[in-house]
Amino acid sequence: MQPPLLSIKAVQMTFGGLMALNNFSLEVAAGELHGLIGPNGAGKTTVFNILTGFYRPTEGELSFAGTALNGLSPPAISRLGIARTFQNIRLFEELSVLENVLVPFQGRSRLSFWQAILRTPGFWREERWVRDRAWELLTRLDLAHHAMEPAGSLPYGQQRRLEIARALAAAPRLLLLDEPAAGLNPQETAALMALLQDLRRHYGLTILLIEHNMKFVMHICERLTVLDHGLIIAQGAPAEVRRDPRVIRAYLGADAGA
Amino acid sequence: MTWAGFAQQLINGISLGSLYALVAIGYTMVYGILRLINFAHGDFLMVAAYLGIFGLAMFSLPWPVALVAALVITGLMGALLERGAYRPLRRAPRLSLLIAAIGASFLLENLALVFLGGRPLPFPTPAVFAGSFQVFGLYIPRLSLLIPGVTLILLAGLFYLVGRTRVGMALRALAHDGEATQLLGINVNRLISLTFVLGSTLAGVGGLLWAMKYPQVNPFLGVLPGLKAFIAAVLGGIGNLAGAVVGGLVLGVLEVLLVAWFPAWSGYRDAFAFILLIIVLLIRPTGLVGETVMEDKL
Amino acid sequence: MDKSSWWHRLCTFLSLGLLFLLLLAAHYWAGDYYLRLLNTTAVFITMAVSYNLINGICGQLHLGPNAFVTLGAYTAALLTLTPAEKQASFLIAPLVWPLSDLALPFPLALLAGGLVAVLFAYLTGFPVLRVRGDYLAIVTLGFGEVIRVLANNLQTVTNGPMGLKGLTPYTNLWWSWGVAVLTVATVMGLKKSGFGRAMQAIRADETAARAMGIEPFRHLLLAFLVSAFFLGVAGGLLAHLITTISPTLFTFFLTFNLLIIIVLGGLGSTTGAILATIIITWGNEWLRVVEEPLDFGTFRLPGIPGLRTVIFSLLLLVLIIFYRRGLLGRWEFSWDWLFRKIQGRPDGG
Repeated sequence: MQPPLLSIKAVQMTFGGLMALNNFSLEVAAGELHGLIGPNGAGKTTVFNILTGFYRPTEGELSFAGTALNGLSPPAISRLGIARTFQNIRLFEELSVLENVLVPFQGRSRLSFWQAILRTPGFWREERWVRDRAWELLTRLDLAHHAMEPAGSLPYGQQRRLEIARALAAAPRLLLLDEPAAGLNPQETAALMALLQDLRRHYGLTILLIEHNMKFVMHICERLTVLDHGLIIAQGAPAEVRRDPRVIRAYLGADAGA
Repeated sequence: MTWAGFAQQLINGISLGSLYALVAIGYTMVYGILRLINFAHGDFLMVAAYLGIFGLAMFSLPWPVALVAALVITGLMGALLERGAYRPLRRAPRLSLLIAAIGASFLLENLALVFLGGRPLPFPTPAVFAGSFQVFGLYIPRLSLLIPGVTLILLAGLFYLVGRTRVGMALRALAHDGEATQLLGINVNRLISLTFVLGSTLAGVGGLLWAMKYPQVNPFLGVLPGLKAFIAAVLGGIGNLAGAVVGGLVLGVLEVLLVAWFPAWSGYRDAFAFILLIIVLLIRPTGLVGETVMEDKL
Repeated sequence: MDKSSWWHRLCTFLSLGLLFLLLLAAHYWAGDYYLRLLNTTAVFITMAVSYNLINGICGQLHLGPNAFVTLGAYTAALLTLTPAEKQASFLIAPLVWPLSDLALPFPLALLAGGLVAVLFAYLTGFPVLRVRGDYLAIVTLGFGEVIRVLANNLQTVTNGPMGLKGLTPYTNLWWSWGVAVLTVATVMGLKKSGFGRAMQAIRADETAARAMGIEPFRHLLLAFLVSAFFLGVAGGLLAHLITTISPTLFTFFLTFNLLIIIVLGGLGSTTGAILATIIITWGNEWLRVVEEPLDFGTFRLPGIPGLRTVIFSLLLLVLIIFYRRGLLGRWEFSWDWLFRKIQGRPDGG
């Protein structure tokens, strides 16, 4: 069997004595679409922040495609092939839609300052290539006709899509989506499901997503990890997880006992 | 250096440090609440010093009246500055607020220049504050004891206000979490005005004492003491009242001792505070308090 | 290369040619007063545009451009003065070797001024760029102060408070405007490249930029170095324009003026910085009247020093409170925009 693309082993994260994640382990195979669910404050976004290098775990090991992630900075992790979106959309609002998608390419660019300033043929070659890729992404995510508008002026649903486009511009093998369906109406949610399936096929992506919309998660994810108060309470296929009594209790809370 | 010489310098340092502390308190209070370096804060030293001259020399008021009047007006001007220049920018990017503060500072300095001229005016120090006495062969100006004394009393009062009263509790709540305070139904605007009144009044006291210590008053009097006091506030952990006092004293004493020990370096004394700041920031990039800058709002 | 960018190049060349002709006309017909004003304008364009790279494009409040201008001015001045001139002006303490024996042609001295500023920027970049926001502002302000104090005290290098006098007025229209054009081209070119996009992304949201693979330190340092180079060269030009330099020339007041210019122009807009420089330098000249004594024959009105600064600080406050976008916001001039205007088409996007 192939080794997993992402492996998190026994990660622990405390904030000033508060345990945000306890003994968290997760393996995601290449090509998998994995869901991370749990009640508010369960520590889901903390997992993303650790994976992308914004938090240093107190304990535990992270590895991605055979490379240890511990101690790497967010930009370094991004260049290894992990890209993310943010729960509270964080676009470069004053920049145009196109520029938002162009930015991540600079992270991987090998162009020197002198090449850029002197406008060498190499600069134009890269600029053309980068722009072509960016347009391709915008077209695939149906944002091309807004390319020149400031990102902050897009309606909410399109901002969510632009965040995905921007993350894809970082050429990830693993895409982390933080509540991609939050605030979307049922039609938009359905479109998002189709989009994710399409992106996954086309770019050979592995996706780890956090989501509260259960219908969405149950429908699209192949495996789920359920977190509650920093602890994994269930892991497995959606159908199994749904029946797990601990999951039902965590979600329904006091109602379950009533 | 002899023991006596050292003691003499230490007394000078403590008196200078007390002045820094008085001014640093204002920076730290405003920063704690608005997250703003109030660049114009140092200029209130100058404002109070000129007001003192008006009261004492022009209107020949008895000194307690003149000084208190100067302080009251300085305090009100602080609140006015917040009202006019900072309040409209409360929801603006922090950069804009800081630029407004720089503009306000230049405005105050140059208004003074326009109306009062660039020539330094002598400060008519009231006789009670002048003179000196000798203890154990040490020559101690009366001001060198008065300055730390006044500082101590004012700080005790301030700590009582902040630590033990309802208003102080509200202030601390505001510094901790502005939005939550608003939700509790506390009048945030009034609290911020109060902060500016308190801070400017303390800076005013600093200005009057400064003018008695160095009795030449000019429009740019407050610039360097202001910057150094800000550095003192950073050294002590900005937002932290006790830290500002400690930072002020440390900076004042070190600065005086440095010049006493290395007279050849006296020309560099104004750079010393900044070099200290840079070293501190090199060791602790977010200042001594170490609040996280990058990861706060993920 | 497609057709439209070929057109853009042609237009750029034509407008540079036009600038050349205008300068040529000024060179022959303008009087000393206007020549000086034109030179000052160009030097301030260089300073404002390179300062705006940090404050506007990268969004970091840098308060120490005066440090780099000082370094460039002193370096260039010490290199163009002849050994004999230097011996004559360093009365209190002699100038240190090798500066005492070194003399370089003006262009090399300018370059050296820029490079010394870059070196200083590189060394200070590490402490400065580790902090953000208010801390960055106060640390850069500190560097400006430290450099001023050094200029005042390093008698054997800077001649202390007396400064350097009797520099040859090498700065002419060609040098000042040549450097200004080079600065604008560099900053514009940088802005319209991956580097510039990364810098603007850092300004917009540093956390998100880092998550997208952008290294803030690398990009901010680059901006810091480029900005320092042109500020240093501008310092050299300024020194050889006014021919006398002393530490009082490079106080925080210089930074304040540059700040007003870039806020007026619109933080982040190079076009705005150029426009605002012209408005402020020429406005400053017209306002000179208020600070000079007025002679009405029968009675004299004394000048009011400081009144111009009062006006400018009020301007800064009004701008930042009521009109934060400045004149142009983040808008940049482009030939596309002009063509659309000429053809009467609406702005696309």
